[in-house]
Amino acid sequence: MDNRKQILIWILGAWLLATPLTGFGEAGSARLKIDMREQPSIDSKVVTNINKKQKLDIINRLGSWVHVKTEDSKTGWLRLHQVRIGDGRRKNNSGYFGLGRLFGSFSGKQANKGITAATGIRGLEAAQIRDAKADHTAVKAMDEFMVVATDALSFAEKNQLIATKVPYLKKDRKRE
Amino acid sequence: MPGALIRYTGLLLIMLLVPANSYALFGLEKLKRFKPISKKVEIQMGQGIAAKILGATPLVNDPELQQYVNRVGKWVALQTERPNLPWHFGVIDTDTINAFATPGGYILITRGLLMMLRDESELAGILAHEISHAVRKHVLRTIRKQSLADIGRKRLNKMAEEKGSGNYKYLVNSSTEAFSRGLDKKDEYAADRMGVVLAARAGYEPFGMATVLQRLSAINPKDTKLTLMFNTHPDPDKRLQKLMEAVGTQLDAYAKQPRGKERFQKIMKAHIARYVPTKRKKSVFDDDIW
Ligand SMILES: [Zn+2]
Repeated sequence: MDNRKQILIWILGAWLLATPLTGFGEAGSARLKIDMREQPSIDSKVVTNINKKQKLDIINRLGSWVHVKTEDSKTGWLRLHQVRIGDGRRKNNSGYFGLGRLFGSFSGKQANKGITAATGIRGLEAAQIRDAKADHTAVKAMDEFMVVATDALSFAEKNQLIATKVPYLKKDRKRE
Repeated sequence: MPGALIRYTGLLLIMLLVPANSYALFGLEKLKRFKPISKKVEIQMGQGIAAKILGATPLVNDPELQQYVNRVGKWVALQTERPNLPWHFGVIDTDTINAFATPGGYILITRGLLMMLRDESELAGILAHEISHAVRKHVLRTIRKQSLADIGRKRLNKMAEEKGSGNYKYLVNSSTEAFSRGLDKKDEYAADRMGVVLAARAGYEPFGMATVLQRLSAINPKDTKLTLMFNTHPDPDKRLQKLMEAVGTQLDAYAKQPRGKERFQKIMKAHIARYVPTKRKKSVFDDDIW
């Protein structure tokens, strides 16, 4: 690895550490003018009113609710879709999100691999798929990783994933 | 014997009456067009499209990762009305952010999208969305409408059986053509709604997909890694708004189901440490398309 790359990784590491780590340490903003609730429930008390585009710190998420903190340190809950990640402007670099960033802080070597992977230029366009030569061998190769029902069941059991009867959403129930 | 005769006559009458009624309701053309394609052909078309995608982008060379994604995917697929489709899941080696459902249960997710995720419930959510497309036959319907509308069911079945023939290639190429243009917006919203329910049924906290949509909506649509997804899907913010509107508080009871964060991050960390990009085959262009 050349020197410049190493320096870049150190800077990135320092920046990651400096980012306020509340939960995932994410800056957010309100999508619209909205009430902030004390608890994750629509029946809960209103703590304060949040303005459109108001800056928020995203602390945590519970189902469809997000725990946030205002700049004047009030905490409360908003619904997931009422909160935007970042300042509301769309970031150019998708590599900013997710594990590429999270694992970037583990070690130089891994960071390098993760980040390179997240910012490479190999793309996948519609035209590439249309013009590609069909690779039937690769489709066959997928059989090797195919999982039978009993394996899936034991995976679920081992990881305490319990199948639950959940009806389709009301909007879709006429289908059943 | 006379009893049986009456029964058969009754059956015959029903067989004659029902189609007649349907013709009257929907018109002859439509009925002919949307007669269901056999499951076998559905699977063969799916394999054909998957072969084209894999021809453009190879699988990630990491059997452990591939098997993990298959376990999560199959577990979710078992919660549907079509648990017995030959469900196959694959991670493909590209930084672009997307996932694909071909007919018949072949589901592909890009490594770029996988790298954006933070826990297993998010992975389950994305796979659940794709599984929903396959279960509801969204892709199959789009292909028939767009590319193969004037080919009858019998002929389609025959074309699909002649693997390697010009007819089969034509079938796969036209399917891929329609597929790469994307689905109806309403099918995308429907898959989002069905996906959150499937995730909940599989025992996951159901809003993983919603969180991914929230994250995607923070990325500039001009980011080239998202081109295909933004071309073939409605805007992620719009999807999130519509999804949450339809969900309301219906799934709040499952908010405390697990997200599988530690497991997911451990597996991804190990994958990143041993990751070597898969070399692409030299020629990605099919010189014998006709
Ligand atoms: Zn979709």
